[in-house]
Amino acid sequence: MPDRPPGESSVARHYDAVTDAWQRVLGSNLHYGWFEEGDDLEAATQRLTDQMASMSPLPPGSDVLDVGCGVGTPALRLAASRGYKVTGISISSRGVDLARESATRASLAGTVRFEHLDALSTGFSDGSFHLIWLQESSHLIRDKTTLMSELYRLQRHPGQLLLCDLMLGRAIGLPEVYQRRDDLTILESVFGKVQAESIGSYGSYLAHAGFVEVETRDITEQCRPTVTWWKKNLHERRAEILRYISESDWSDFVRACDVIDRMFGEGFLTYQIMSAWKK
Amino acid sequence: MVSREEILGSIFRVIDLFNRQAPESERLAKSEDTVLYGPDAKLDSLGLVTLIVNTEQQIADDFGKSVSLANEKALSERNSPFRTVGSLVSYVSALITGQQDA
Repeated sequence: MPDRPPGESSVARHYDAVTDAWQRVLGSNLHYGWFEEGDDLEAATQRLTDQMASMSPLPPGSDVLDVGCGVGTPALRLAASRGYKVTGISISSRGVDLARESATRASLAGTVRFEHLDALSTGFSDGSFHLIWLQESSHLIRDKTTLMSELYRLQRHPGQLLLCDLMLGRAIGLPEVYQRRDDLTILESVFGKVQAESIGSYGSYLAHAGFVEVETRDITEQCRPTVTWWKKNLHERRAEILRYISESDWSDFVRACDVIDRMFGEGFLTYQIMSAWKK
Repeated sequence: MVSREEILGSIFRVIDLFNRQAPESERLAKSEDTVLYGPDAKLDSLGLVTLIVNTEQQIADDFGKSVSLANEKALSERNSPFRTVGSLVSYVSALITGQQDA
């Protein structure tokens, strides 16, 4: 079983504190969207899950581990639309509680379960899952070498790992971190400790763990409208959101949206989907 | 003349500030051997930058000295002056001594 309390890290504390407010800003999915013409945020966030799922040839009934499951929306969609048996894990106890309630409401509690666990020490047996799914969770985990090794252990043979996340467009050094410290501090205050890495670094982590056939797709342009929708929600639902976070946190969130949009424009920040296999 | 022990005390105050906001597993030990930068460090790069900026402020508050720790050369050096608390103390000490000698 896990050898560390999952709620102890700064990431867990942050997510426990912000989950209720974030649902009003980011929508029920708590993720970026894949926008096509005419999409609203809800449609686009579902599309991202669907597009990612379409990259897997695994049949219904496959066992899926959703690492960093948020409030469970993608896991429930994978179960409903693909027929997967999904185990969602999160270090946020608040997220897990909301995910379990959603599973019950959707009558999917039999095929989807949610556990309050740390991805680095789940306690699951070797080869437990056909598909390992990481939707915007890997940037929150600093030790990606251990993460990928642990996921490789949990992966059935053969099995697929699908990952989507924010990634740096290139490796950056300490001087650039210093230069961008005001922007990065705003992002950290809003989104918690983020351990973003370059696309190349992700490839190295996956290869080092043993994964093969690594494919990457840049979907920055499809995802970029997401922050415009967050800003719209921040302004339109301001009174409701201020029931959960302070005025200053609300202002920081608005600023953070501008920072992310600018970083996307500069190519400093990108959004990628990666597929890799254990064979 | 600012002693090494006094500079160490200033940096420990910066660490106290950091530790008050960090969960237990991420707190820094108040020791000259504590690693601040590199694969074995508990700080990420933004955490280190924040610690550097706070150290500049603490040195100004404690000794009335304005030191610029975060110049391009120091941030880029292979043998970084920020790798441990001890190396940071030596770096701050050298900058203050340089100001006094100038």
